[in-house]
Amino acid sequence: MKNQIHLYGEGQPTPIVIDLHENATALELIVIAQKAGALPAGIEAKEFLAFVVDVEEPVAHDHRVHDPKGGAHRPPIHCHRCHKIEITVTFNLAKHARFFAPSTHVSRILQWAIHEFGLTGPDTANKELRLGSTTGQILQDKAPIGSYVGHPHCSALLYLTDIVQVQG
Amino acid sequence: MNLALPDLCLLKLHLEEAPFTAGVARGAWSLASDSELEHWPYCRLWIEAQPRFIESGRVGLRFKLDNYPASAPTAQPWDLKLDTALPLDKWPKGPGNVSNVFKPTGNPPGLYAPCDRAAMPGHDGWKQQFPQWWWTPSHMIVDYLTFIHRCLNPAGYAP
Repeated sequence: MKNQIHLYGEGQPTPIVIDLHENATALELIVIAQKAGALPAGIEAKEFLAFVVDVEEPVAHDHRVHDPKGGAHRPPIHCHRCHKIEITVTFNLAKHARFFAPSTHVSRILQWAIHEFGLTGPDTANKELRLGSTTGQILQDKAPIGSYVGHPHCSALLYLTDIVQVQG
Repeated sequence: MNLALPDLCLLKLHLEEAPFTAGVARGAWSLASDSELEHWPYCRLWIEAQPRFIESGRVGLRFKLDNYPASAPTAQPWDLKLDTALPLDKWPKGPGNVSNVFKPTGNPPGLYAPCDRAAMPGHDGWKQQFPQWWWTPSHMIVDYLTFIHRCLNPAGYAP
């Protein structure tokens, strides 16, 4: 895994593995990701921002993508053309909205939504986020939110719902 | 390892793909050892779990994966140190889907989940209730792992 990196593309919640040489920069990663189909081709690579997943600000394009601890574990990267994404969460007919970096873990947005709607106790452990409707796609906790959002929308409507219980 | 077995070959392929390896990299799950595929159709993995559900912070599972992915997997909680079935009184317990899913089903017991072949028969209603999790041949082992990981690590929970 030393020369590989997990990359989440724009609007693609399933990561892909990208092979990189040891000193590769963020811009090189973007170009390779475009060739691999993880990012749209035919767009200037510099239009994409490269984020370490769950880190608020993008890295510079000439930044070396490496393990910050000096080891072999390179952090997952998310590339997106939106610098911020407006997330609106609906629950029981109420709404809260906020801008998040595309790299923000879905689990962090879930925790924010639970706080905003004033949920406490057991209610907090029984919630998940869905895309577009109360029966829409369940978002994966450890995926970056930008992997569910296309460009140029830079926004998403989510629903906070109870986790369906396995019964019957 | 017998590469003539298509079910084993497909599993091996899926274990090398990014959705599985990304989970390994973040400590969500892993094969229990490097030689797991030598015991086909059995394969042991562990899944991260909040310690309030199981003290060790990990649940071992012994999967049976014959005819994968055409047939759904089935998994039994497993003591990876002793290499034996986990006694029922040590299965994870907790609110929501923790105790719902970790409920012995069948013999040997599988998990009570819409992606486990031991529980699927007689639960056709789950197809509509759990369209993302109801096992079909287009699913991969990582889907089963993700479902169980979500049960054992509710993201909204703040200790």
